Amino acid sequence: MKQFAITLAASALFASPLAAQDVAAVEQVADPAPLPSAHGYEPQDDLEKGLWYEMDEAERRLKQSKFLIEDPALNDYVRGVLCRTVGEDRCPAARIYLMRTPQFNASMAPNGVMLVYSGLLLRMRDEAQLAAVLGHEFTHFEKQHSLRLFRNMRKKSDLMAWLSVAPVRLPYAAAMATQFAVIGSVFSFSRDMEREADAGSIKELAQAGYDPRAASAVWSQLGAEMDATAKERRHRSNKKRGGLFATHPRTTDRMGTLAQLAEAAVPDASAAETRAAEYRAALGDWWPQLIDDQIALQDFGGTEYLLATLAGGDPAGWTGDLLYARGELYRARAKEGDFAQAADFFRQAIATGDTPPESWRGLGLALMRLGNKPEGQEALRSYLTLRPQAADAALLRTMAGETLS
Amino acid sequence: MKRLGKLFIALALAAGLTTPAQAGWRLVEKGEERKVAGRMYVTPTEDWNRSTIRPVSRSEVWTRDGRELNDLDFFMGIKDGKPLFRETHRKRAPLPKFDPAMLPTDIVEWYQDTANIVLGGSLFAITEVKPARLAGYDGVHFAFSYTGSDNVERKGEVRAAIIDSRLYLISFDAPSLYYFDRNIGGVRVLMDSARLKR
Repeated sequence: MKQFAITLAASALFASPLAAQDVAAVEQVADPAPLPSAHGYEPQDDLEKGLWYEMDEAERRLKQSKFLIEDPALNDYVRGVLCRTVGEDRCPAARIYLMRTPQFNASMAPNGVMLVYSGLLLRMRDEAQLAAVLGHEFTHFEKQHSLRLFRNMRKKSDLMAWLSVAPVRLPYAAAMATQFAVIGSVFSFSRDMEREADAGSIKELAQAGYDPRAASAVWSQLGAEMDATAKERRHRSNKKRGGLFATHPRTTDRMGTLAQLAEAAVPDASAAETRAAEYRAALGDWWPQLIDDQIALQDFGGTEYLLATLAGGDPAGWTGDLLYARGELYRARAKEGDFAQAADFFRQAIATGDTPPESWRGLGLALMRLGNKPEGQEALRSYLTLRPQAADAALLRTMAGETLS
Repeated sequence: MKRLGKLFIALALAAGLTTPAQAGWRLVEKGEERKVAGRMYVTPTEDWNRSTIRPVSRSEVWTRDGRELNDLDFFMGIKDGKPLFRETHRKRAPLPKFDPAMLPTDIVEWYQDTANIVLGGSLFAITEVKPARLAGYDGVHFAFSYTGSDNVERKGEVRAAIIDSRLYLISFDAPSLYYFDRNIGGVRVLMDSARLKR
């Protein structure tokens, strides 16, 4: 377990909010050294070499993770968006790993490992928003923010002394994050670093022809989702405590700044692209799986907000997929009135003519919980006709009143 | 290193519910009918080790080679409104609660949702669900697979039924490699052997 302990120590370093406090004062010297995004960049001193060694070890384990999404098409797409955003000459510095984990997160380690969680992909409304996050993380990487945090910490104290420092608390214990604590940790950058990364992402977006307003949209969506989760669960919003917002500039302040930067970078954004259709097409078959992952977290408030965001605040935006997901969300919560609501959403989903067959399953089960057995059984039979090989077909057949063959 | 079963014990220890300073193990001999966690009786076909720690009331934990390798958990009589595991983050990561009105399919989804929340990941998959009987009552038998943060693929099976508005559930999980296949036959026979004495 020694290896694990070292991993923890390093992760605590990055994640400790203490680490971020006075970094702003450090290292604003003009930098004659090559940028880490330059071709053939090597670590510059022993400390950076040590850090790379840790990161490379973590990357080696990462490659064997069952949580990796290996789908070549999706990987190519995300890489393509990064390359379009930061340019073909700089993007080879990043090695992108897509992780199947429902939280919103992305990070980039000093050795070029970029982690993109599937929960992030689920939440982006278009390609420009994804580009905004990737551009933001790439700026942290290129400006060597995590390396600066690390150096600053080393000046103060011995590495092992930080074993006892608790990392930033995530809203959920992400299995993936504990597995790769070094590269998967939530970096608590200083506010100045975040401002620098924000400015960097706006610049990249504008140069790539993306609508730079996407950056402020991402943060307002995330903040509102955290508020929605907190309201339903009656706790303080995570927006105000840890995770991605831990040392970020105040959200409202930040969104205002981002909007101003976007306005200054591209005064007339009408020609700028968001590429929403391309984004939806690229996610394609993954979307239903990712929304299932999200629903399974039983975060009713947050998920309800998320679905409404994806529908774009437009009644016509509620596609068969979204209505199905909403039905599942209500059925899973199972509070008073939820089954009736769920049945209604499933019916609407089926009426669109373009919904997963699981809408029939959901409708059948919701009706049976409502005590409407005949109609419930009929819906289950419709589902079994569409999906005779479903994992729970045998059980559903008996529930639908069919005799076992 | 998160696994379903390990978490189960860890949560109980954290909650300070267990009196013994160190967990002990007692032999459960094969072929002997034995009372499990209060009410239900089962007859194992192989020798097992029973933990002296009861993670929640009316539960027992058994293993043959250590809980990393084969883990048999009994939950005997979960009440209305209770979760499967003890909740450590009631506000921020609440666990779904049992409801006696649940359909058999709901029990499967409830178990899956619980697993997803405690594992924090999403690689938990239900692979087969079929009707079954537990102690003479209609219920459900389902199979699942998952990967915890130790990156080991595990498979498991659960037999469950709602009896007098309480949930009785026996769950088994083991690494897909070797251990699951070696033990599952005996576990299914044990699940079949369950009966209630009044």
